[in-house]
Amino acid sequence: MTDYQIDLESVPSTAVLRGVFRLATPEQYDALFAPLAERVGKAQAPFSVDLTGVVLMNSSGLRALADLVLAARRAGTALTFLGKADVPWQSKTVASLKPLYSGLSVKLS
Amino acid sequence: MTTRTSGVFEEGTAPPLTSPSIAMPAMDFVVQWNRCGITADYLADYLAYAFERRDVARSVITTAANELLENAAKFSSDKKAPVRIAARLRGDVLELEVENVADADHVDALTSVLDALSRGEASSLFASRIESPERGGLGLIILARDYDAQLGARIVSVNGGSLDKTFSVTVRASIAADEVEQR
Repeated sequence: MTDYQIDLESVPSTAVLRGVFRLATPEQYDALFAPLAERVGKAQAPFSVDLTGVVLMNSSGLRALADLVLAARRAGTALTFLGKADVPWQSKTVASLKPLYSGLSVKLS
Repeated sequence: MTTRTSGVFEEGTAPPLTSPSIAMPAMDFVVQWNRCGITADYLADYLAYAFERRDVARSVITTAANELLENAAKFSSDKKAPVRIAARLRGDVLELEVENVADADHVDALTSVLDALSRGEASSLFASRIESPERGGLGLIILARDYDAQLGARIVSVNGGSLDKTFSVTVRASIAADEVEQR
């Protein structure tokens, strides 16, 4: 049963994530996020990750998001996380990643 | 048999009105990881009715319960032994408690984190873990830092005299109702 989806094609320079992300290990997130990490690492233009359709994400997933931020920092890619203010893990934990990289924006609707 | 505690672990006084609990062999969670989430969601759906901001409460409760269950499943040294999760509503505090069997290495790592969290080091622990190449171990730190959870553990030596010591570990997260509802 797959209850998550990553769409890299529908919106330009944006990865749209949907569903529930509760994979068991960091290595599983590495495999899932590899295409996303590659785009963040190579992006010439600002890149966004839309989390508004993500209901839940476990701590390994949040670590994977932090790894994306670190990849963007290494590449100098401006990165934006789009989330919802009324979803606690987004307004708290995702928003708290901002100090990792001055080029990271977190926009909560 | 010896018992010790780490972090914030106090016995409650008032008997809880609502205290659902579920126990399954650790192996059940390991072979089908979604069972951690299913179990956490069930408890959250059940308990969220006790809160006015039900959707927010559900999200916080399932987030916390899932982190505790995933840790218990991962670090159970005997996969045939049960992982037991219990939730208790004690007035203005929600307690989530997970019990499993673990080895000495895990107990040492767990107590180190819990002791640091009880000293108020959640933010610095989070920052150092994020920048570290070693991954994992963020769940409890996030609960303490972002949900102001009081975290502690009761550790009971199961076979104190043997070389391969094992322990019954009960980890408890206590979250104020205002935090559960994000008020």
